[in-house]
Formats: sequence, structure tokens, C-alpha cells
Amino acid sequence: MELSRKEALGLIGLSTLGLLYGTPVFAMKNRKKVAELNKLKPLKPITFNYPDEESPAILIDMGEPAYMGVGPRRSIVAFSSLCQHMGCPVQFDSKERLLVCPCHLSMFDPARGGVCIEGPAISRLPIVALEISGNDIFAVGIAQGVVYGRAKNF
Amino acid sequence: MDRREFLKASAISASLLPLVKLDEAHAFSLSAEEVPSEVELPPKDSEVYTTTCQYCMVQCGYKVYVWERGKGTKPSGSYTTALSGEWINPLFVSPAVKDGNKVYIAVVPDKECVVNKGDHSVRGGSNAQTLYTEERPHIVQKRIKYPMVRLKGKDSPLVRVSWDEAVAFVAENFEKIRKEHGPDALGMIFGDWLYTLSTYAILKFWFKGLGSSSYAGNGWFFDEESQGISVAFGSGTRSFTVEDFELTKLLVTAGTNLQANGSVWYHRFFLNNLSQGKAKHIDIDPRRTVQAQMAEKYGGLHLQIRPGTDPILAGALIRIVIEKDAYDKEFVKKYVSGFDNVVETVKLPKFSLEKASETTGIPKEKILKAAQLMIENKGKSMFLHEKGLIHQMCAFEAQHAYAVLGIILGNVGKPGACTSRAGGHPKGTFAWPDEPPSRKDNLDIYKALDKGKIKALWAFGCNIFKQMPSLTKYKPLMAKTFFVVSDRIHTEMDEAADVILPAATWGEADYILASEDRRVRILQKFMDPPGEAKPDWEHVVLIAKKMGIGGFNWKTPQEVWDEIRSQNDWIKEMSWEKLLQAGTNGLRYPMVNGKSPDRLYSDEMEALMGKRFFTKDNKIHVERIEVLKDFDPKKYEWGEVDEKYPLMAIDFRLNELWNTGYTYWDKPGVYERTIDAYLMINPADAKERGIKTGDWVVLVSRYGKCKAVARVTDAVKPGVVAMPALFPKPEQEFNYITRPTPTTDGSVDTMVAVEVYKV
Repeated sequence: MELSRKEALGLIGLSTLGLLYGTPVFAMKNRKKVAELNKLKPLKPITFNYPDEESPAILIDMGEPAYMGVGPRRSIVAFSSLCQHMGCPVQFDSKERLLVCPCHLSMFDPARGGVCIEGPAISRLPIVALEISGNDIFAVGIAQGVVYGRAKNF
Repeated sequence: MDRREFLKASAISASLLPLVKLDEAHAFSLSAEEVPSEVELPPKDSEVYTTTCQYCMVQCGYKVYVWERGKGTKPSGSYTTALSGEWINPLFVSPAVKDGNKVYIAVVPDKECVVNKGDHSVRGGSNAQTLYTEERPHIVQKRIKYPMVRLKGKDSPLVRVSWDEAVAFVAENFEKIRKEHGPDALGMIFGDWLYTLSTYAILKFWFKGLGSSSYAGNGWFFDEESQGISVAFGSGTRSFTVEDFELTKLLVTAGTNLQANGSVWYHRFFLNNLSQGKAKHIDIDPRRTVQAQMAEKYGGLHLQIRPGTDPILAGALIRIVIEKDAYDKEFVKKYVSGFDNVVETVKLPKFSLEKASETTGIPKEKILKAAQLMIENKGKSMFLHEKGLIHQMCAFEAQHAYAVLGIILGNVGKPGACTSRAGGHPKGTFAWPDEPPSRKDNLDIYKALDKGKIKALWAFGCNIFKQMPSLTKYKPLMAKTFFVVSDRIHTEMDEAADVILPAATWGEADYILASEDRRVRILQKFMDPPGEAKPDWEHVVLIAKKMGIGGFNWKTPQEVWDEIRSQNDWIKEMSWEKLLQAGTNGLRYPMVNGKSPDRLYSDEMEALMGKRFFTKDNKIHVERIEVLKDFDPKKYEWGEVDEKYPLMAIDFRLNELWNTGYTYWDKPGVYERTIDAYLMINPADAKERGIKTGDWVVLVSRYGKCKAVARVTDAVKPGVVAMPALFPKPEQEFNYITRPTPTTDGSVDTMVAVEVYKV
């Protein structure tokens, strides 16, 4: 995607400084190891399936603090990678730092909670909540939204 | 004027501006609206209704499911796959009230509709979020639910009254004004996307009932936007069919950003054609949009044109095509009248490659490559254009020049080939009652406003405090009149309104609309309107009856429709029952003996209708290309660019924002993209003015001021700045700076010389 990062932010204009209401409580049965800290490289995404084998997800170290980021720099985030528009898997554009859907060009910003900045999607990408234990990164739940194709996440 | 002086003189006070800068705000700036974590799906025994989207000309089909809250299903796991059109996004579902019962309503893009096949845009996908429900206080607050009247003049408060009182108040004032000043003192501006039935009702009332010729259509100062096309084909009606986006070999778009308005058409082109390597795209736009980037990525072109120079580009392309002897000779010989004028006109030096490149700012090799692509794909290309051209002073010249280019290459009436407007809003007008004779000397309502001749104004389903050009000048003039508003929401028009009438909107009454690929459909009522809101056509009926004017005895929407279709041969066979039966696919016009051509100006049309074109002699006319001989961009908007106003400002549509944004703030997942209007400005121009991305800036033209957040980007060229049209915050309205100078054909445009100041 050739939309520059700066422009993408410009598209948003000034948003109100907000808070995520409450902290979701995640069930232990939904906990799944998805990555290891020492193997992560900034802007090199890894993929996994979550909340089940039919549902691809993507984890990225954004290299700088990100909304709901974990890790030493609060920079690691993960999302359901099924586009909220019609379910095509989004791809990470490391130059633009955006998740882009190849089908209809919805673009989501992983640093800002998966907010859609352009294209037909009407909702943010669902955030996969992460926890770190030693060197292991666990997916522990969906912190926002419903994964494409479902009526509920679990 | 230095910055301090400017701020002092500016109507927009710096103290009103937010303190947070973009950089401070961006990192964790979620607006934190609660996103649902699960959703109830419609049960098998839901009531099902058919409708179309409430927004653009594509008119995607939607199915609406209504069920008692708690009776739906919540299956576990995934129940569908990608691109199936079966997933119900939790935001497709809204609580609402139907027949007094609390229900859930799911508004789902219809996978059985041939237009969208389950797809949706960001605008239409969020249709359900606009439904009136007590659960969403911001919607409750902004909807107009009861008639309101300012009984004792502009300084008295708006008070709630009964429908009877409001109607009597309007009737009495209209009658008084008509008696004292004549019928033309009554002015009316309508939004003709406002559903066929209401548009017909207001036009009949205005022309035949009141006898007034003071009106403007389309929420604008004029209503003829198709002249450059209609002089050629005898009609401005769009000629293509939605499937053409998948069949075409070359899409040429000029001044129309389909990705952002007409999205589902673009999706079909992009996903099934362009990105598969089956077609190319030439996008002609002063801005480097997503669509422009994709055109280049897949082997086509972005011609980043200097705004207002389209007639020169089109003329140069025509000249190359003729010089290479590459036009469709058979087609031209058989169907085109006036080709000699074309040959003669483009011979002028200003249409040489060299000169055209200089004027348009497009490199010569790109113009040549564009011509080559057009020649290679003659007879297989879609030439589409829209408001980017139409809202310029050179509207006619540009529209007609592109039309001629498309026509001489034989792109008319074939699969994947057309020369047409793209469209903006759905078609809302099928019958046009005879206008009073006074119309011939009363074409421009803004002139009458200027002279103080308009004593009353009815804003009928449009926000004229946003949509009209040159608001700085005309808003006060409009506000002085006896001002009646028929609308769904409270807007800035409240400040001046003498009467506000609550309108029942999409889903709250039966309506009819047509897509611009000529599909007529019923938009069914599926829920209760709030308070005492009524369909707009009923507002007309009540006032006409109160004034004792006959011919307004309709009791049902079907009766209005029957009167409309009796006056238009294209739709006369489309009874209410047949339309209901046709569901989301609707019936297509023109319809003859149950059949309709997929494309206008085609063999199919000729076989069905006995003629190929709507012109009297059944030919395409290109004689008026001659107007290009006198065309010089400097005579128009560019003539106002000088040291004091060195930048040319243009406006554009935001993908997520429809029209005046009357539903924009209903949709958190949509408006969080763009909380404030932004100004695209080139790094060179920004640097000169000390402007950085995220700074608030003020645009100043000779005609007024507005503000925006700067977005420094090379997506616009030096010397050109661009701002979203109709952004729904009052001070961020581009129309405050647009020009009051009418164009050659009597319209008013939105391109204007400005200076930009950091605040």
C-alpha cells in the first residue's frame, strides 16, 4: 500500500483521547501460546490461528508503543486477520505499517487498536489480547469486536 | 496581513480550537465506543423486507430482518466463509421499535441482489446504525420528532406545535407572501435523492399548486448537470450496467472517485477485473487517491491533472487519436453527427501535446500512453466522469470533451463499453410537471435571492446551509426569508427556521428509488418513525390541502407512484405489485412490454425501442465541441489566482461521509476515521507557510473562510489544496469559501483561489 504512514494518520484527523471501558476478563480455557519474545523482529509479523483453527490471526511487533501493546516496549499487538468487511485475510504492509485487505482495500492501523482508516470495513479488526509469561506470548481472548464469520468469539 | 491581524479579523477564533495536536492524540486515540462482543442472528421466522441502501447511486440491495428481542440465535464457531456475503457484522443489527414492539432489526447486504451480491461500502454497511432507537441517545437527541414553529418572528423561540398548527402556519404565510409578492416570491430547494415520491409531490405543488418557478434542484443552485452528455445522446441517463465493471478492458475515470463514492462498482472492477490483470484503469484526478494508486499499480495511469484543465487534456487526447487515424470510423460514420467540427477544433495549437502537457501539468509521455491505452481498448472502455468536472466553471466543456473522446473511440452501448456520467446520488425524479411560464426569466434562484425577491424558502430534504455554494454570501440571505425546513435531523438550519417539519426517513415509510444503472426498487417500511414524523410527500399533501389546492388527494405511496408512472413511458408498466415482487433486483427502465435493455444506445435498445439514441434524428451529436475553441482556463477560476490567493482549492468526497453527513455521527466505527475535516497540502506549500500535519489551518478566499486540520502530503501537487466537501461541522464547511460567480451555463462552482494560514 502506498498510502504513507503520515497520511494515514492525517486521515484520522484529531480523535478524542479516549479510554477503553473496563478490562475484559479472559477465561483460562481460551489461553494459547502463539509466539516467543526472543524470536520476534520488529515489523515482521507472525501468523497463528485464534480463537480456533478456522480463524487466522496475526501478531506484529510494531517497534514502538501501540494500543494494548505488550512486551518491554508495549509494542506487540495481535488481531484477527479476517477482514471485517467480507472476510478476506488482511496482509501486513511493513512500509505503511498497515494491515491491508487485498480484496476490497480496507486498511487497518495495528498501532491504534485496528481502527479502519480507509475502505469498506465498518468496524475495527478484533484485537487478540496478549499476555507475556517469561519468553512466551499467549493469546488470552478477544478484547474487541467479533471475529468475521461468527456470532460470538467463543 | 500578518498572522495576528488575520486571527483578529477571522470569524473563527483560535480559542475555539482543540488543544491537542495530532501527534499527541494519535497514539492511543480510540474513541472507545463499546464494540459489541456478540450478536443475535435473525431467527428463521423473522419478518423479511427488501430495500436498497439509503445512500449513493449504486443502490445496493439489502434484506431487512425483524424479530422479537431475545428470539434470535447465537451459533458457536464460524458459520460462513470469506466473500460469501453471509456474515452478519454485529453492527448490521440494531434495536428498534416496530408496531409498538421492541424488536431487533438486521440490515444485511443482499447476496441475491445482482448489484452488490452481498457486498457493501463503508456507508451502506452501517445503515443499521442510523436507525432510530431509544438505546442510542445521540440519535434520539438529533432527530426531529415533532413539528416546531417560531410563532413571532426570527427572535422568538422554536416551540413544539401540533401538525395542524404547523401546517396552518405555513399555509397562512405562503398565502400571504403569494398575494403580496406573487408566486415566484416562494422559493424551494429540494434534494432529489430524497425518494421519487416526495420529489414528485413537491415539484407538482410548486409548479402547478403554487405556480412558482423559483426553485433549485439537487440541493444546489441548479439542476442540469448532464448537459455535456445530453447534447450528445439526447439524455443524461447513465447508459451502462453494473456487470460492465467486470467486462471492461479499460476504465477511464475523470473527476469521479468510484472507490469512495460508488464503492461497490469499484469493488467489482478491482477484485474481479483490475487486480486479476484483465483490465487497466486510467484515473484523471488532481489528487493521488487510493484508486489512482491502484490504477498505477496494475499497469494503468494516474493523470494528476491541474484542476480545471480537463477540456485541454481531452482535446489533446482526441487530437492524438485522430492524428493516428485510430478512431472508430465505422461507428462515427454510422452514428455520429458533427465529427468535422471535432477535427477542426482540436487542430488549435492549445491542443498540441506540448501545450496540453504545459497547461494540464501532465507529462507528455503519460498523455501519449493514455492515448495508446485508449486506442488499444477502443470499443471496450468505460468512460465515466462526475462532479469533479461538473462543479467547475468549465463543466460543459470538460464533460462534452470527454464524451466526444469516448464516442469517437466507439465506446457506446457495448458490453464493458460506455461514455456516461458515473452519478452521485440515486435517481429520484421520473416525472417533471410543467413549470410555470415565468421560469424562462427566473432560472437562477440565487439571483432572485440576491435581489431580495425570495420571501419564503422551503428546504425540502436537503441542508441548504451546507450544500449551497458561497454560503458566506447566501446563508444570511436565505436565513432572512420565511424559512421552512422538512428534514430528519436538527441541523444548523434550526437557527433560522421559522418552521421545522419532521420527516420519516429510510425504513420508516415506503419509498421508491432507482440506481444509476436504471433499477427501480421499493424501499419497504420496516419500523416505526419516531414521534410524529411523516414521509416528506405527506408534508406537501397537508399544506396543499390546507391552502385549498386540488390534486393532492393521495392516501398511500402507491397512489403517488401510480400518478408518476402514468406520465413516464419508461416506467409505466412498473406497478407497485410488480416492483414488490421484483425485490432487491427491481425492474429496469426503459421498460417496453416487460423487457428492458441492459445498456442504452445498444443493438438491444434499438430492437426494443425502435431507436438507438434519444436525439430527434437518432444520431449522436458532437457539434458543440466547438465551445472548446474559446476555452482558456485563465478565463475561469484560474483567473482569480494571484499573489494574495495563490493556491487553488478543490473539494472531494470522503468515502465514509455521505452527502451532508446527516447520519455521519450515528456511526462511531465510521466517523472515528475522520473527526475533523482535513486539508491536503503539498509539502512545498506547507513548508512555505510553516504548516505541519495536524496543525489547524484556515482557508481564506475572496468569498469567505473555513478551517481544517492540515495533512501535508504529496498526494496533491504544489499550488493545489483539497478539502472534503460537506464535512458535518459548521466551521469546516468548504462552501463558506466557494465562489458566487455563475459559470457560463448559470451554475455555481466549487473551485476557488485561496490562501492558507496556520492558526
